[in-house]
Amino acid sequence: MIRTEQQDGKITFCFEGRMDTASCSSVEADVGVQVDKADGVVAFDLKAVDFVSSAFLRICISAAKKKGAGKFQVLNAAPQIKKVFKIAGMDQLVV
Amino acid sequence: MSKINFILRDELDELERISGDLDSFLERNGVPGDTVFHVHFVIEEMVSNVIKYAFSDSATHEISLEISAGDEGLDIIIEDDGIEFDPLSVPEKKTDLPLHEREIGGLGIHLVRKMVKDMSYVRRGGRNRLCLRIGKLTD
Repeated sequence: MIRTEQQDGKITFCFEGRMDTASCSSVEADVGVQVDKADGVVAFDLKAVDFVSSAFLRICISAAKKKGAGKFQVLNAAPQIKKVFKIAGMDQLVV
Repeated sequence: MSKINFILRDELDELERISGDLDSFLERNGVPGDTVFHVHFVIEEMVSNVIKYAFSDSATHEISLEISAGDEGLDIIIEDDGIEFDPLSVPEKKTDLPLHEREIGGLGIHLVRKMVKDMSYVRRGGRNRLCLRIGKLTD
């Protein structure tokens, strides 16, 4: 359900579909472990995601805290998803 | 005025089960894309809160969800027989703190408050009844 791609020390997690409370709870632990292990930049690619709940924002906050400033980014978010990040005060993560 | 009702079991994957029917209802009523997203978000957050926190026994519970579309916008009513919980009693969350100072969690209700026009809660007959209004629909 999540594909990861690695290039030049950057790891990208490609999520798909509805990242709702149920799907986030099934991937949260695994993503957390992989983010912990990553040395370089971590990115979450939302190109194939059409919905996020606050559970997904929690996964992002957790990753941003672990990686530190500038080493975590959210890519290809749809406009409605960008708005959710903005309301949550997390738009600095969205590239 | 057009209305749709769902009865959900207290399991998180119920929200995905209803999402197609909910989309069809919103589409039939000409609800624009931004508002559709907000409706899904508000239902996801508030119903998943009920499923995660409202029931302390092992019995199966049902959650009633009603959505009506009218001239003033969309009204969402969520009812459950879980423990008493008024989401309006939750203090406002600070979203202007730097990310490294943020608590992980507590964002859902904060975001719902920002997306709805009105929100009211009543405890009656051992049931929680939460009413949310999402403003008048525009394209």
